[in-house]
Amino acid sequence: MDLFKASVFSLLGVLLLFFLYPPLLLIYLGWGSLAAALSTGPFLQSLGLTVLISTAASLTAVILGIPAAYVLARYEFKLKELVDVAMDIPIVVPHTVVGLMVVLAFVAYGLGPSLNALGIKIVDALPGAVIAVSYLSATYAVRTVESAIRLLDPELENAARTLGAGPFRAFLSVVLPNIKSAVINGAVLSWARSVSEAGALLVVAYYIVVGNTSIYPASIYIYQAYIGLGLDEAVRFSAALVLFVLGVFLAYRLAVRYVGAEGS
Amino acid sequence: MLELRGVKAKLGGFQLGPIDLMVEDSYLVVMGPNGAGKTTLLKAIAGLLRAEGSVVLDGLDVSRLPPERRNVAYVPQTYALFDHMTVYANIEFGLRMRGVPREERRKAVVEIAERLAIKELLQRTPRQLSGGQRQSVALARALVVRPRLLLLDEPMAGLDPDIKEAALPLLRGLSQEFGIPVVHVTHDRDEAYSLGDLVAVMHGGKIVEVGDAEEVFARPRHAVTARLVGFQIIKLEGRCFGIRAEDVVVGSGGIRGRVVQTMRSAGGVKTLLDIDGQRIWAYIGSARPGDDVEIELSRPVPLDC
Repeated sequence: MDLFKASVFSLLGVLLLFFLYPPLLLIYLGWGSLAAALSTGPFLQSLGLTVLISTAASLTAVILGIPAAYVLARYEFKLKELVDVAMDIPIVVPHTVVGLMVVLAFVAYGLGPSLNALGIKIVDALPGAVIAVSYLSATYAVRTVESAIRLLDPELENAARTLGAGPFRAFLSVVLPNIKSAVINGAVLSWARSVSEAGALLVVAYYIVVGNTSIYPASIYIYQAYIGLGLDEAVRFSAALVLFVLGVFLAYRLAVRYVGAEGS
Repeated sequence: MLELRGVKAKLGGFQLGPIDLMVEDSYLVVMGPNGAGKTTLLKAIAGLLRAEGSVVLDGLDVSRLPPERRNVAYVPQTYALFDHMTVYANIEFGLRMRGVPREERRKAVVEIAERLAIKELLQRTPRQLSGGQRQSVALARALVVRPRLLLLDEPMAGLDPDIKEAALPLLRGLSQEFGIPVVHVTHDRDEAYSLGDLVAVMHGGKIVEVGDAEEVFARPRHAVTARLVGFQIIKLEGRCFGIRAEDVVVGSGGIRGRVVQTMRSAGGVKTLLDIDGQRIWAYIGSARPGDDVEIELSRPVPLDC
């Protein structure tokens, strides 16, 4: 093996260790108490709530992200550079600040009074949590789908149009089937980003009131366990959450492979 | 019949046209150097980019119609086959978009597949096809909807020479067989000569010359055309002439030059001559670099340049 190859492989090894050592250690330490964690009612409620928020955010990201990605990939227009930069704002802004911005925009100012008048609660409520995590995760869907559309030959749409398909039909018949892997990828990345969100939720939805019960999102439940009960308690819930997320990722990989195999 | 009246389009900094052109139900080959606007012209005719002026098909002005309502078939250079569909579904696509009933669609697909000798490919996917087969499928998909006009953008560009040879007769017969005008873009002069009833030459977004293929190849009027069809350009006493290497006669005449280089070619040894700073090729058997020669141009073609 030459020096260059040896160097890059060594650095890959360092990165792999950096990525894998902490979660593997967490799972190793929490393994013995996984069953206890998964039979703790409030934690399961937290996990369920997190899945609900993340799925809603992921759907929002995909529904709004696909058209945005299409526009960025296919059209040239004035201020495109600005729109492009705006898509990355959620990545740059600290997450607690995003939480504050959601409170400002949807509670104190702007749409706040109207939503309040309609009886739609934002703080410590599901809509607020979904808005906050959607804001933080949509960029991943936009960028993933945008890359896929850029790689897709625009002549496919041109051919479809001249064969009689209107722009919507051409998009649905020709573009969407060719980017379905990227759409799934974007949805899962948004979903995973949403599951791991804590900063914005600390501000907007520290807990969510469902009936007479207050349910913490999973990340905040773990934080609560850590500051209230100590590291050991936090470890077992964290290990359960990490295994759950990894399981979803594995299922997603298999789904993408299936979709890819079907398409080829 | 296709008629273009003052067709203009802007694409970034590139300006197409104004283009005025009339094509009966014949095969028009559009030639031009890279960036001349050939593909842009096809897209303007197909309605795939916004253009001014009029595109008239069989007497009907389709300029304001979107591409899906023009009934103009367009085969891009990549063929743009839908890889996620079978060949059958690809060919059927246009008929489905037009709401043709299933049984009629099936008949039409099978009929066109038989005509283009691709029936055995119907259940395959485009990824399983060779370049020539892909071209045939793209043509079948374009023709099955009975378009009023067929636009072909460099349809031979990706093909191996032997497949190209086999594809020429197929393309040559399209216009007559389907009774529609065909506009075929290429920068390959052999392809243009083999296929075109008419040849148009584009340069800088405009058509600089159009005419009968034989005429354009034998007596080009514009220097751009002359270059494209294989002439060399030489300027003598302030006037431009097109000359082929085989028409440079050595030994007499009042033009003096010097041999710069010799090179083997299929037609014999080619010699590069320098004539007052202009370089042209000629066939001179015994010349060596540095030799002074006297030449005559036997059939020079006067050109606009």
